[in-house]
Amino acid sequence: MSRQRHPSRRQCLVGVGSLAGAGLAGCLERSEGGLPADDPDEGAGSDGESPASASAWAWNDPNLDGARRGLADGYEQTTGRALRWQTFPFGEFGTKFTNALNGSNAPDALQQTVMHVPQFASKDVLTPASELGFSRDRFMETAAQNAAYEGTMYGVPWFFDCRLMAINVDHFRDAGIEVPDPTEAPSFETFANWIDQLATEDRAAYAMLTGQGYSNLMLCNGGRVVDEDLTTATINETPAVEALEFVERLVVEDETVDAMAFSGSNPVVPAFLNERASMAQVGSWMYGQLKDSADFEWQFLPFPVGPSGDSSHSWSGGVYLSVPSKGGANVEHGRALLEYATRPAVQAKIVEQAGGFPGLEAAYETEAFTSYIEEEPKLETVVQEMENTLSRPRHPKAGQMREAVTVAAEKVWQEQATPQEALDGAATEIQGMLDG
Amino acid sequence: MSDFRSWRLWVERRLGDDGSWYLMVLPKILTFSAFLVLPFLFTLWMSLHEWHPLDTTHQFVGVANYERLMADPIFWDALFNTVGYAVGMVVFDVPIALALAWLLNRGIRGTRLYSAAIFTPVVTSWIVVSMIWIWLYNPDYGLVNQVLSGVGLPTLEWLRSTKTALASILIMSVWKHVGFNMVIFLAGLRTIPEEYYEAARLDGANAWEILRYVTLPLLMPITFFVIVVTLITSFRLFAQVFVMTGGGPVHSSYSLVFYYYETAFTNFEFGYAGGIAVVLFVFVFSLGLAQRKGWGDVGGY
Repeated sequence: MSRQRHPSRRQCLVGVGSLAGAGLAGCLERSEGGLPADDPDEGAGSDGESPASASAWAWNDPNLDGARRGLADGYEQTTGRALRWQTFPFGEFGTKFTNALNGSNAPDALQQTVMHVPQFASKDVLTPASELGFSRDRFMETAAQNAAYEGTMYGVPWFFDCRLMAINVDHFRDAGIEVPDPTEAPSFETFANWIDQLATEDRAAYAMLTGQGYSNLMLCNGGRVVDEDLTTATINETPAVEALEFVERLVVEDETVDAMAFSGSNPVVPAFLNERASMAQVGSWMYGQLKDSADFEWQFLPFPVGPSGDSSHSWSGGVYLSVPSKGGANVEHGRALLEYATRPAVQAKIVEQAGGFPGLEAAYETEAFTSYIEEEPKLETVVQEMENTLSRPRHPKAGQMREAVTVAAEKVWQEQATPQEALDGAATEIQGMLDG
Repeated sequence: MSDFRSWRLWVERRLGDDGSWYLMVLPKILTFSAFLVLPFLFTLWMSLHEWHPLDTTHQFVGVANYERLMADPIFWDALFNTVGYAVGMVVFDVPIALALAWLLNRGIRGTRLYSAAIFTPVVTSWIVVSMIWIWLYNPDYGLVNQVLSGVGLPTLEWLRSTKTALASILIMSVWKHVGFNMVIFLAGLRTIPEEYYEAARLDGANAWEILRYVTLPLLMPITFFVIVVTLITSFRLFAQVFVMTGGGPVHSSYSLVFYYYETAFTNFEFGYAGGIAVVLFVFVFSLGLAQRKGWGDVGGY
């Protein structure tokens, strides 16, 4: 009688393990095939929401809670449909949205930063604003650019903003410096003189973020990260190098400027509010915080203009609302939110609610906006600088370009490279991103 | 009934009387395969492609991601930082933990209180501890520099300098983790029979000789375990970097896992990130094999 062969223990274990793997393989079908084909108008919305409600995603930002609630209330009043905001930690926001697209539970609308828009638009997962009925010429040019990729808007500006300086007027008076006109940008030379007079042993004259502090001054000296066609990195050209050399002297040699790293939170504003810095690089959206917390006299001021620059400039940011084109989003629900958010009356209130400026041109003519600006004279500087603010490169890797510039600046602050060497390295890295 | 009996006989003959062995390991095998083996194989597969999560097709690029990795200065920075950090943890954490365990084993008053105090950081979240130490390390008003200047020592830039950023993270990590190793050493010390110490004392050995010739050799298996676990867990350096420095300044505190996270979830380059993950796996796995071979039969006397 022949002996039958039976599986050994090892064979049993391998077989069971393979079954487990094979069982999960079915769950990976979607990942292999990319985004599932779906009908975004199939009414279910996202996260199992009933057709009677809409969903929108945002990142955690307590400063925007009130404004988001306002949008939800107004949306419900105009459409008869509830709007549910879901928020996530900022660092996970992009991943959450990506997973939602793959999992067919994308929100009907979402908030985005200027960096998110080209990242997602380049992957064809956002609905062009024109398809939703929004025309570019209704919006402020920089705001429209911020919401665009390859010339097409993929969202609408809820609000946009600028960067500028805040100065401690009391410190200026104590140092015997004439308090500057809040709409007049100083020159680099004047700025350096102020720094020399304001700095003390216990106090920096100027506090700024490591990378952004330099890159805003680079813009003010006529420097740019890339050319307009997004084909050539220009960060290592003379204006950008000059600006870095200027700041290097202040940060490294004189130690009168404090270049602070962003670790978890922005350390610059607390330093300014605690009077450990006489001037600080701030954002226009910080107006409410500065107004409520500063117990000294202060004002805004444009960034200084360099010898090779034509005007004070700064990077523009802000928040943009988009509608996903895939992942089960209900396009009509999303469109309705964008339509409500871009009404002149709603846009006009955003300054007070969130500190950002309206993206819609018509909002600037409203009584609500003009009277608020009149009541808050400090915002006069912001109104001016909003016209000088510049859009970041509209490239999916704009965030990585920003990081390359930050690392270059850090190398100079850490005395690991000269400004030219550091920016040459950044240019090489950025050129690699442009070349794909 | 006879079919059932013959099936039962077949099971007992082939699988042994104790077929429950299979039932016991089955959940582990299933979980291990589903959540470790399969994801690793998929990561390996992704690393051979240009893989963006929103792309519908993924171009096969072979070993191009690995070639790019070998030429990537940030990867090498991250690798050296991670290895340096892991070695630092072993060099500082393990001896300090052993010393603390040895002290606590001497039966001094308040042992339980000291044990609890030293172990409390272990059970605290890395994120919370990191955020507290950001403030402690602040060069202008942090407690650490205040203490240093108070005793006449020079202050440091800590997290703000490329020279001290990684060391700052290491110091904080040792402070947080030493209690874990201490508890293991303490348990090991308490398993050493008292007779060995009595015999050594009768032979005239002093405290140092007892430690060197009795305690340490008998503690060798525990020490080996602690070193291996410390090394392997050190390679997972991420939370402290993410919260305290963001990898800076100038990549001086980049770790492999942090670089992997940034590449995958900030830059959405899943293929390249997969390559980093595979290299990390190979490195740690090789380290574990080499250590096992190098230590040989570790078992004291």
